Amino acid sequence: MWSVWPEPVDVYLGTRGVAVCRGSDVLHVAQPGSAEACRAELRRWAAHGRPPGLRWRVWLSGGLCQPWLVSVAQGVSSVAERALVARASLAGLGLAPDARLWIEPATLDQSAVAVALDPATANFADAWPRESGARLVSLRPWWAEALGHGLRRAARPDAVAVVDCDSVTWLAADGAGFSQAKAFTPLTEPAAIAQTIARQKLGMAAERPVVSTWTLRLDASAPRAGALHTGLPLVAFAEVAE
Amino acid sequence: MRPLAVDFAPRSPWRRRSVLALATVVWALAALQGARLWQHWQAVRQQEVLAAQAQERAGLAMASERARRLAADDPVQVQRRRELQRLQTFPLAEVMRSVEQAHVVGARLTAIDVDAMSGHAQVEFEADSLAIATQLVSALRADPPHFDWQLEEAGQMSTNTFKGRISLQLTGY
Repeated sequence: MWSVWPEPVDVYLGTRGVAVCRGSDVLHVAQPGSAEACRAELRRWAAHGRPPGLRWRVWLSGGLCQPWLVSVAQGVSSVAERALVARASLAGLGLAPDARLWIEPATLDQSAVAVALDPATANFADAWPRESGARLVSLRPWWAEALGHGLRRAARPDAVAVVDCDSVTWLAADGAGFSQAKAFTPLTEPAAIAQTIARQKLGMAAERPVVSTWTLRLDASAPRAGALHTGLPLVAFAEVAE
Repeated sequence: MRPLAVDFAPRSPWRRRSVLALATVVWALAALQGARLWQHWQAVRQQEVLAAQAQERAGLAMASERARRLAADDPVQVQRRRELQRLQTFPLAEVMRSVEQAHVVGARLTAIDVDAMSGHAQVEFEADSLAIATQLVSALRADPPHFDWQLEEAGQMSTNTFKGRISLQLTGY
């Protein structure tokens, strides 16, 4: 799509890999073994030469940005109270207590999806683009973008599974609202990923649930799926297996 | 299930300020332009009003001048104006006072005719004798002395009755 703004640079950041793309052009791919190493890799990449664009979209893996379901709770009468309840459950989920929180939708009459952003990643995303002379225009989980693309498909799925470098993010529907939202992380072995998705499918109420699976591949031999899935950031690494 | 808009990117205050500044500038420019248009419109309207007033005044002046010229050139108007001037300047009250004061025993005024246009006044009387008639003329001439009353006609009507007419021709008014 034509725009007066230059095309933004898509940066993917996980705990097992990083990637930088501009449109369908892959500028940099690396698969370090930890979150700290991934951040260091991106800093190194930005330091070696001028960054290719001023506007950066940073996409996060499910391991750095985990969702979970916040059910409708009696006695919770405001959005602020619900945020307090969600924050109280961070420790039980193994997340940092000072993680940044996002809860959606804002209405109290249905279950909401809470998303926690790892604080170290949040600090990195705040500082790193600025240090590199760029501007951070969005900081989103890649699975949320894949969810949006999955819901735009003709066959509306009952569940969306997003597989990225370090996790499987599972989002399922029950009527209009969400019935499940969880991230299985760390999870990198293909067999374990397949078992996890199969287990989640078995747990669904529908007899033959439609599951849209989106996989992000960071290896150079991955097929370029850009022609198939135009519009999805980091499209060069994405493929669908329903 | 619905798409999630989750985005942890901080909203740039710079961007917000830029948008606000741009909006302020656009608003100020629009307001300035609006004010200028308003002033221009007011000036145009004022000019139109002044022009209409000037045109009206010019029309009135022209009509007045035309009327004045017509009046000055028209002989009838000239005559009327002169007559009016005469009427306004004829000393009618003075003439009447002169007649009233000329009271002579034995003389009776029977008619008074004043023609201001010609400056002529005429008094008809009856007197018991001719002497009384002349006394009446003297009395008329006494006050005011610059009225030159003239006995124009006098005739005996009967043994003891004289009838006469005294006239005054005023000039120079």
